[in-house]
Amino acid sequence: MEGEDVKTEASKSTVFEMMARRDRERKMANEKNQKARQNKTEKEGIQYFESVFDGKVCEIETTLDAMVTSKDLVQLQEEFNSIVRDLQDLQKYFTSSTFFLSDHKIKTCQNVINQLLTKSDETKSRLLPKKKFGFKNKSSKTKQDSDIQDGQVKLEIKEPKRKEFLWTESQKTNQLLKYSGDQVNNQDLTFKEMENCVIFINGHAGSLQMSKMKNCLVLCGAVSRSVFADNVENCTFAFACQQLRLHSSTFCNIYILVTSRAIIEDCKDINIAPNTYSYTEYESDLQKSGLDGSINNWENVGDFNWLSTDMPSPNWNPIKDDEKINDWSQYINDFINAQNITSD
Amino acid sequence: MGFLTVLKKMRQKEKEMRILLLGLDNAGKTTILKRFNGEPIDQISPTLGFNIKTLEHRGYTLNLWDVGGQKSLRSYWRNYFESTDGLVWVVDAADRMRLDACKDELNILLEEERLAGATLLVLANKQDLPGALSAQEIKDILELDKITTHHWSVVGVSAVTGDKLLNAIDWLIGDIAKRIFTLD
Repeated sequence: MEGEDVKTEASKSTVFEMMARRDRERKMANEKNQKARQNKTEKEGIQYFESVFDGKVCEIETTLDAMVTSKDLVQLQEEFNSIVRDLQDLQKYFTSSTFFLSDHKIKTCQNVINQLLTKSDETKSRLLPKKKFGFKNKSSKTKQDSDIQDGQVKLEIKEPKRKEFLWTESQKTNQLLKYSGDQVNNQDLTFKEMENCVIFINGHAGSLQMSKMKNCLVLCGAVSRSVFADNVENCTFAFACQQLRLHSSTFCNIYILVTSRAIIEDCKDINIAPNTYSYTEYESDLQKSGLDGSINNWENVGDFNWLSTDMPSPNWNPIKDDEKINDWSQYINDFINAQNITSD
Repeated sequence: MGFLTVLKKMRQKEKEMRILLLGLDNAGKTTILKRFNGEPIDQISPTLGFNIKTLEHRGYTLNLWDVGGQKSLRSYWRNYFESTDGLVWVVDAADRMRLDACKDELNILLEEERLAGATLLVLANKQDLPGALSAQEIKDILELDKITTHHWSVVGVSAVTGDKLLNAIDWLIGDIAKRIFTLD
């Protein structure tokens, strides 16, 4: 009985061994097949990628080469936009394919794309007049796209706990406002949506920000750093500062002492003159602000919409001598009377 | 050239980090760059193009690119994305008017594939101004907590006084080094 048991045990183990061996062999063969298949698809993938990639590159290049100057700037802009979109698609396709491409291939393809980008930029600057670079179109476009992309996400968690910001002053009309001393010194002053107002700022502020101002007179001492203003219309400003940045504004008269420089972007009809406005403690405020009063680069205005250096920007002008405000107190009085302004 | 030489060359190159400073105009990018490099900051004017600084810090060669933030220049930012290791997003924490624009522009950058691997450092600049929002507030407004695609950190700094600036940059460098120089 026992002998028989041992025998069956032995035959059992040989059977198991055989089965295990066959299983191993089968697995190995499988693996081999799989590898071969993978190699094949990989090769096919690369070939396919190459043909698609080269085709697209060729297509974009031909379009670019075929671009000619046209009177219809809007259409030209549209054409460029479509090229940019094509390029972006190409970049996306390429990026999603990088996992099966060799390092060398990735590098060469990226170079091709970069060259195309440069070429498209070059063609664009050649064909479209500089003034109409079309930044606005482009940036708003990308913004829209991204909005659509994550629109769902945004809706769900829109503004969980937006803080109330305190402006120095906002939404006032026909008022006379005065700031001085600790209200001003080293502070950041901010004004928004003011109309027909006169604002006196005596002292040395840290920074000054203004947005959506209409028909206002802002007379300020020294600002240690930057003055930033956007969407300002029909205003007169006077101040000393380190930098001035003026955006999307029209019909402004600016009397300025600026120690580095002023820039304007998307502005029109801006008139600039060296600062002549003063008050009793102006000199000492200027000194405390840390500004060097002997430097005034008021004439060195950088216009981001006018990149040509040999022609002056048409968006701003120096104020002619006979149009300058000489008698400030008279001007202020006239302004206050004309606007029917009440002191707050 | 043997294999080892190739490796060595690569490693030498790897000690370099490319850091891109971006943000809206008037955020203080150039001031941060100059302050970090120990240059005077009182004559800085709005950037009409870009500034590049290469400097040695903690044994790494940092290539710092400071690109102007004016609306008209933002469309050119993409030209600088390639092989960026770290993105420094500079926020004017005292500029309440444009925090929405600031958030939108940052979100556009975060979707950019060429910046996918970059570490993000958000600097809530101008902390020396009394009206500046804290790093915590900037974090909430920009909804940084939602960022899952990048390593990020937010620090309140003042480029004018230099406060906390070095610590912030050190964090950035440390994070990049951990990620790309794991061979060390």
